[in-house]
Amino acid sequence: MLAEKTLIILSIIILLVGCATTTKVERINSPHKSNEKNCDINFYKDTKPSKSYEIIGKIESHIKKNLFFGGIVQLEDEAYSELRLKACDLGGDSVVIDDYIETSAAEMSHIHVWATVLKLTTKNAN
Amino acid sequence: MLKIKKPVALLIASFSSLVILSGCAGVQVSKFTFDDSFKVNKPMKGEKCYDASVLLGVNLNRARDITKKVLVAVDSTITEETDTLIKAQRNRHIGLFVGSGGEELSVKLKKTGESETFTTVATKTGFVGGAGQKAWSCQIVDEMVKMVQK
Repeated sequence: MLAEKTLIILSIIILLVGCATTTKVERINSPHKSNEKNCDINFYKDTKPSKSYEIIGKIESHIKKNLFFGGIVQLEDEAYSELRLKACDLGGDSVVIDDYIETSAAEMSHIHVWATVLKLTTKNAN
Repeated sequence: MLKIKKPVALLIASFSSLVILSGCAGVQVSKFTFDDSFKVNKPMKGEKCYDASVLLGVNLNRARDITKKVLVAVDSTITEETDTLIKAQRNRHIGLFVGSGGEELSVKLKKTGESETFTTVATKTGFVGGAGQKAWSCQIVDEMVKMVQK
């Protein structure tokens, strides 16, 4: 009985203090066919693709994570996963990180990222 | 009637004291005023970072856009907005040991040239959840400068 109660309380705490993601997606131009859920996405942090491309979307995402339930939120980890998911859905193949801000307060760490989703137009040009 | 064992009661009492003792800190209005000593995109920071300012090398509209972007990114909700003043409050979070959020952030913008905006950022921490609150002014001006320089 006590174990059950403890488990319920722990689950509630984890739900309340765990992690959360809020993402806004803006589709640009005509819609493209979505890729499979975990498709291959090339990330560009301080550069842009050298091939010609079409901008197909903008993503803004805020991810927060509790230090005691998974550690510190990372751009290349949680943020890239979220961006990959949304970029695949938009039918993109590359994501450019426009900007990101990392913050932390008490147990919580946050990352806010702005990104542009691209579809390369010369991908199979060779 | 809820019965609480002595060690648990002690733990709750000391934790409550920590939250209460942390109290209020910071400033509601920045003490920085514009003068010739300010250099473009070089932040000036007050003690403990409750107060900071910077002369941003962009016009007022761009400075306002950057301010809103940074405030949202540091997990705040904008509560008041005019052409030259933006107020926000950090979102509250329940923590396992210490919650966070609730700090009041106040950003003032003043046009000092066609592409220069004097910006001050003040942080005021509150009574409730004070233990998990912190001064944000320095990080906010630093992030603003990074965005201006991109």
